Amino acid sequence: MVDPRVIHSITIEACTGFLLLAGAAVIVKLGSDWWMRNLRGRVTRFDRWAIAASRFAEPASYFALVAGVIATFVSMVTGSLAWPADQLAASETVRNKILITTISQSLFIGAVVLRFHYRFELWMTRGTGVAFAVLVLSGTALMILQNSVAGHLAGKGSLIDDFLQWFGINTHPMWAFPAWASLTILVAFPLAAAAVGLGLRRQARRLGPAPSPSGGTNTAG
Amino acid sequence: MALPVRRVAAVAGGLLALLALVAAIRAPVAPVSLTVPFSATPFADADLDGDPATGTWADAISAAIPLENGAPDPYGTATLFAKHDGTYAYFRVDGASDVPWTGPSGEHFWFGVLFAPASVTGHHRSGQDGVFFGDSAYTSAEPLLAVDTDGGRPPLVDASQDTLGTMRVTGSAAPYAFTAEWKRKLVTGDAADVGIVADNTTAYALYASTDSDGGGSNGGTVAHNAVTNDNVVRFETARPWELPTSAIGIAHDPPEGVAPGVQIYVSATLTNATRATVLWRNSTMAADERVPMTNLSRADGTGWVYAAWLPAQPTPTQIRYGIDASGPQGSRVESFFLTVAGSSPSGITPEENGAWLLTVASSLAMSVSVMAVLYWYVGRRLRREGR
Repeated sequence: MVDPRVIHSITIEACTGFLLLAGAAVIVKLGSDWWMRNLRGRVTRFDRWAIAASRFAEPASYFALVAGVIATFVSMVTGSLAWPADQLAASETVRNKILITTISQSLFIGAVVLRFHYRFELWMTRGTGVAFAVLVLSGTALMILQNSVAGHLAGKGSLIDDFLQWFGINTHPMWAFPAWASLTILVAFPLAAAAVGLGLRRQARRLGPAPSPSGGTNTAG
Repeated sequence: MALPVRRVAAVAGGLLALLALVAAIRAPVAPVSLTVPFSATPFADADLDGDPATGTWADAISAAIPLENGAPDPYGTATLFAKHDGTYAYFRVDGASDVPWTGPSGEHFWFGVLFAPASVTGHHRSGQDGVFFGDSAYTSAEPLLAVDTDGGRPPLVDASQDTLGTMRVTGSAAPYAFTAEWKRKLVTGDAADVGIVADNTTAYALYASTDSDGGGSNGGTVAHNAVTNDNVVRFETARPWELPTSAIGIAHDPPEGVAPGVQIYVSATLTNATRATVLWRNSTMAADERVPMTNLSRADGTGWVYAAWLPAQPTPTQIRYGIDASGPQGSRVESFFLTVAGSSPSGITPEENGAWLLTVASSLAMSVSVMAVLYWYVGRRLRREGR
């Protein structure tokens, strides 16, 4: 029978590969959009490359995001099967990995939901495209950190250890906010999000309906 | 044109001063290749106390070894003493640090050694073994006991602690002298440790270093990983017939996973013995305590099982103990050690667990809130653009 840890290694490679591809594709898309918005017409060959890169990078990032999110769920299952639950819960470093994975996975799921709901139009305005890219790249950065923690769990260290040490990040002690800080975040962030949501809605009512695609407005009179 | 004599003298003086400075700042020595000798001379565990004046080191090999910190002397070179008795390897390192060890939040440094098969060269490689003294990630107060780790970056503390030893720091100004003394079994039985084959041939890589500029240390300027010195160590074949013999047999495995506040059960199978005691002391006791062992009237092979309870230790420590067995054919003392670890495998307290769960929940709330705002913002922005 195959060692569950080997299966876990394979699933980890799969989700890491897909999500890194998603991050890379988003960077390519961001770069090509920037070129087309700011430098279009300067170098015709680059224009062609930017259009081609943009055309491939967007669907590639969406596909890689969906595949990466699914593969991460699979790797969570294989990881929980590979080691006894009490052993996992007893390790401070494992808890750090669970914490980072939870956050990065929630960011990736959010990115999938955004892309699914708003489709390709997400990239049509600079602000929404950048916001989406920041979301995906934040998830990618957290995933790199979580893989570094996994390297320590495997006793192999990590390629980015020097950076972690430079930033004063020690992956071994358990990361936890003080209880008061957690409770404040638990209350303040949803309240702030609701307030921002209401503000955006009020602003939308004040400005009136959106202009029609033809450039006119739907307002009466 | 006449040479300005004063200027020439000044330049010559400057050059001489520079030469004197270069001569004064000696470069660390080159990597060494040495064979650790076998010695049948008994070595008392109590002498692994960081005091270079105690213990039998005259029959050990001694060599100046370069440290991985790459610092100029006296910080970049240390003196290694090593020997083995066929069961245990004994090590002592005398070196210097630019800071003392005043506590985990004050000025402090660490000394550590990575040890590996000769094929596994470099720092923090998979399959390396480590022992560290004074690293505040593992040690919160003196005495600076040996901590058995792997070779990871940073090294992880082994679940089974198989080194016994202490580091002591002396001096009132830099350079502060330190002596680290420790022993470990050649073959510990722990898969996380590197087993040592004493056959004159099998080679091992050894990397020693100190660190005082942060990352388990504080207040100094020495970084532990400036250079790589592939020191090679071999172990002389043992000559067991030279060891003292006894008709009395003591078979004992030290207990593992001992937590503070829990009594320690010590049992051993003794052959040809009629009575036995345990002589023990923790890292802060000045003298041994004696606890009689009870014959449990249970046969085990050719011997009988004896047992004793040692008192619970309130804080993490290392206990050195000897089983002193005697009978009609004489007596025999064999020494062992065990570690009372601060955090057992389930060392996360309910409060810490609660704080962590709250952290997970709050982090999720944070990311979901941010995404909700993003969702509304994107929708609003696309509607405004008419998309």
